[in-house]
Amino acid sequence: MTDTAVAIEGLSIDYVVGAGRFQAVSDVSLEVPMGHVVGIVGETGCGKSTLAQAIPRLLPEPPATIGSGRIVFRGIDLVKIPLWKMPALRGTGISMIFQEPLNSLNPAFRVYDQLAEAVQIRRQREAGRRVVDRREAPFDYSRRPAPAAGEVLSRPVVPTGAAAQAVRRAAERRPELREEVLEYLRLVRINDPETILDLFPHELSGGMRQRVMIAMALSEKPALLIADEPTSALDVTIQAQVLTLMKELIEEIHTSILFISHDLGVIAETADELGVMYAGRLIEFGPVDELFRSPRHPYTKALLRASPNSYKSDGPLASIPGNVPNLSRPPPGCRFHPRCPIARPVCRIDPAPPLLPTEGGPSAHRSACHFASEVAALP
Amino acid sequence: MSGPPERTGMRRTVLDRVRTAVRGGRTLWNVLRANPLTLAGFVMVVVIVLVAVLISVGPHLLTPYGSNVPTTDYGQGPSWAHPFGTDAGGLDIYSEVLYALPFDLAIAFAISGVALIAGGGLGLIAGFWDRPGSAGGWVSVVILRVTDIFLSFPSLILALAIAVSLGRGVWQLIVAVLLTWWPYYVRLVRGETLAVKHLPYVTAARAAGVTEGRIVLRHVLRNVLEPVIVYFTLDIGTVLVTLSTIGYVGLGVNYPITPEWGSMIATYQTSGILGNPWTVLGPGIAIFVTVLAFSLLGDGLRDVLDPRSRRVLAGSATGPTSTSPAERAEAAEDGTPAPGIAPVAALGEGGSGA
Repeated sequence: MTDTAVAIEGLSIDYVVGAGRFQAVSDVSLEVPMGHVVGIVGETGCGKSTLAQAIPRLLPEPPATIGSGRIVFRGIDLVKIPLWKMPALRGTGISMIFQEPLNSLNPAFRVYDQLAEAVQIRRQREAGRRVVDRREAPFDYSRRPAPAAGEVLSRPVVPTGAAAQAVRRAAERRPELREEVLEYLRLVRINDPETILDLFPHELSGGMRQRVMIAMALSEKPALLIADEPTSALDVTIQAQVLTLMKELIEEIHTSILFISHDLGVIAETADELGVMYAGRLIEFGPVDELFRSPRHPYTKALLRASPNSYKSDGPLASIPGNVPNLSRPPPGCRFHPRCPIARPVCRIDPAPPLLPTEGGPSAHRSACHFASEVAALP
Repeated sequence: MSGPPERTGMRRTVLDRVRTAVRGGRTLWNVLRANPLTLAGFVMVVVIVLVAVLISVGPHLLTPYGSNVPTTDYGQGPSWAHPFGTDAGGLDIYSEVLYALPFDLAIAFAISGVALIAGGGLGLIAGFWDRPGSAGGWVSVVILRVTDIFLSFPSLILALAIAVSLGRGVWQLIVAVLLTWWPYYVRLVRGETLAVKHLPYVTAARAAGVTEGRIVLRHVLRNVLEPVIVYFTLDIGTVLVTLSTIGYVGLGVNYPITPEWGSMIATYQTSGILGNPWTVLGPGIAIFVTVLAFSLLGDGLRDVLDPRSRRVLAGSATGPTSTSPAERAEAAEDGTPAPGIAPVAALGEGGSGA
């Protein structure tokens, strides 16, 4: 097996709405190494959620269309295979935690039912077929017409026949399944899981719901976990709890994570590598410390400057002048050039530069800027 | 609720099931008690169904006379012996009305039920696999256009037309109403399915590896069911009225060989209303009461089936419900801020009351 959980190569995704065509993701290449946490940051509408949902092919197609590129998971190109084969890869292969904990749990089912479904999916796949327990063979009265007197008392009388046996086996499995479900609720540090199990999602707080979501995703032991802003809807304190939890879980269950967020603090906390997206393009990629210390793209630099860590100590909060470009008519050349402080004529004409290693930096740190070496000098 | 945590194994699940059943029963009672009209509807439906069962099991438990067996009292007004009087032929109207109950109710249930299953199934398919251009999309288009054709005729007129062409009889009556009835369920279920299938939890289920078929049958169906069951309950009343109407215009079953309320009214209106005006009263009241019962129950069912309103109505807080003290405090604070005061930022965790 390779040491890559998923490799995205030159992926472009368009939304076709009416006559318009929005290039939500254009030519993004990205690799998530096994056991790593790769973060993606970017403003709202930069295509990060589209990218996240495209990997397990959860995008509604149409309106979305995957124009070109490959998504290679375990040697399979997910863009090529028919959609009906995808359910077998989702869950245990690629699982996802969504942004809205409020709506991502089915309101009609108790917590137990939701979690049990996920656990059962994994078990069935692990077994390769439906789980059949043959340990307790029923006392078969059809073969031995007259049981000894003592046997009637010592062995339970059970209905025979395939249907009756299936019902009984299901009943036998239930306590065991319940135990496993409880285990995962404990794993995500839910207090009093026995009570939580019987509640409906609307009876839980946002943080608890998100933890149930995480428990669901983890209970399938996915090879790749895509977390699409898993903490954005949560309070700061719960956010910290969930993040700490996820970091611990990464070590407990060996999995690779693609972590999508617009919050630089959250990313700094969790990710090993970080990709920065702008207007559908991946513009910088590198180890998270390196990228925070010396950003090599003017947009990353501006983004870091605009985070409200130093609010009030040195004047008003910095912002990036201008707006995110309209993706139905992206600017020619580098998409950031209308807002870029170091833009030159070449940036307006030349199609976007490829993601290349920067001079003087480590080879893993790549930037899509012609003048990457000048970024350090920016304020 | 504070469940003792040290329950284990099989015993605990059995115990739990009993406990859940008891809790469910208590919840139902609380919901019913909260709304007297629902309670009335519920009691009426229970009594009606019970009577129908008793009539079909042992007719003479509730009726003094047999079906289509004339008494010696001809054309008598309501009395203790004949609560709804007798007709010119000596038939006891009270007995005939009761004999018609299981028949009318069974047909109404059968028509609504088959329409629900057939129409609902088609609606689920048409709603869930509606991607234009795909195979499912074409199936969906075919289902919907056929539905539209049926819906473009007024259902009663269409039912009457079919009844005329099929002739009189029980099965003809059922087929006539059924053919006009299923499209409404297609529309209803398709609409609900379209709304549900784009909700995040369906995508979340898909992300968890649940297959499409299971998503439809488990995740979507369960969330579509609620308005459908309400509609179904109300629909039983509507079907009853339609059946009676068809019987009333003389296209239904042949009374007095088969007792049926609509046909009864039709018969007595033409033959008996001049001399024995009370004869139409019995079947009329029967239709009114039965339809009213199902309407009241249907309205109330909405509250029972929605898990959110269920807990609130039940009034028994279990675990961290939405009416935690903090949130109640929050609700109490929800006054409008005094005018002329600068905006004040309220900072706090969820549940802190900020």
